[in-house]
Amino acid sequence: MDRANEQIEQSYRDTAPALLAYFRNQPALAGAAEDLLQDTFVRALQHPDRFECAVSRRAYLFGIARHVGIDALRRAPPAGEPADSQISPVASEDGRLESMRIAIAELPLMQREVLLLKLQQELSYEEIAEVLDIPVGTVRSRLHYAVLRLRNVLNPSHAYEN
Amino acid sequence: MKTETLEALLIDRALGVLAPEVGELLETHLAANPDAARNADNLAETVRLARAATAGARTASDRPVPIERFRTTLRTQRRQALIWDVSKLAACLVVGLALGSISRSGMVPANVTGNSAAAIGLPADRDSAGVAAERNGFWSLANFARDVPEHAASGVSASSRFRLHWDSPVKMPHLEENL
Repeated sequence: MDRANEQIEQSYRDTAPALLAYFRNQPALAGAAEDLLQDTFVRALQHPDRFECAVSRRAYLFGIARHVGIDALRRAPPAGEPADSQISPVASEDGRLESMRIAIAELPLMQREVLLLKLQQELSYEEIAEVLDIPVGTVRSRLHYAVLRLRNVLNPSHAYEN
Repeated sequence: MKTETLEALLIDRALGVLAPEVGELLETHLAANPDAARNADNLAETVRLARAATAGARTASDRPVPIERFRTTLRTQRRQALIWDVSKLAACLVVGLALGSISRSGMVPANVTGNSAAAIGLPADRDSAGVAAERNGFWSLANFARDVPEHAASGVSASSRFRLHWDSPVKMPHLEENL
């Protein structure tokens, strides 16, 4: 039991910051990010055998977090201003960053989700496929479409060439 | 190389997921094709900017997450799981004790047929209704009792003379006489 607790605690230490970032990056969930993080681990603990056997515990936890987030969005009415907005003044020295943030926000949900899991959480294609429960090829194509769309926003001339 | 294939490889390269051997071939191709190289730079710059645009939120959440709350949650979860397991065990024991006390005291529940009563060693009416209906070939208390009618009729407990022989859960059990 102690060993199992240690393992779970270790997973928490390793994954919790990334999961917290995942929740905080979604404006509607940012305010309840810490509660949602706890919910994610409670759900994981309800099926310890699946957690133990997961090929990638990180991906497994992100998969649960995604469902926890979806459930929270269904339950709660649309929230106001988030606590930690994705649009922060951290790197506003480059004007193109602002355009990029807007372009990312305007991506179709499925493409944005894959892009953020890749760029923010540094998950592999296989891990993203596990999180979203879709084939790896679909992950790749969604990511490619997202990058091409962002490229066309930054370089409109390229879009016309295409 | 088709444009779509090249573009897909360039995006993988920009995202840093290209296999090394493929990467080498691609670099050779880019060295010989300035247009493709320009496209590759464009995509790399796009991905770099996208990383930078999403990095602010990531850094903000890199602060340590308090572990105490998680430990409390973990303890609560374990306690609830233990309570649930103990409750299930207690429920099984209660049901077992109730059935045992019923058979011991000679009380037969209203829904127990004559054959079922015979199976637990109580006098019962062998000609009660429903016997034929229960002879369906599957293992049941009624079909089991059918094998020892003479003892049931005389009120002698079957278990004193016979012992249950059950080779497999998918086969019907039968009684063997105690020698």
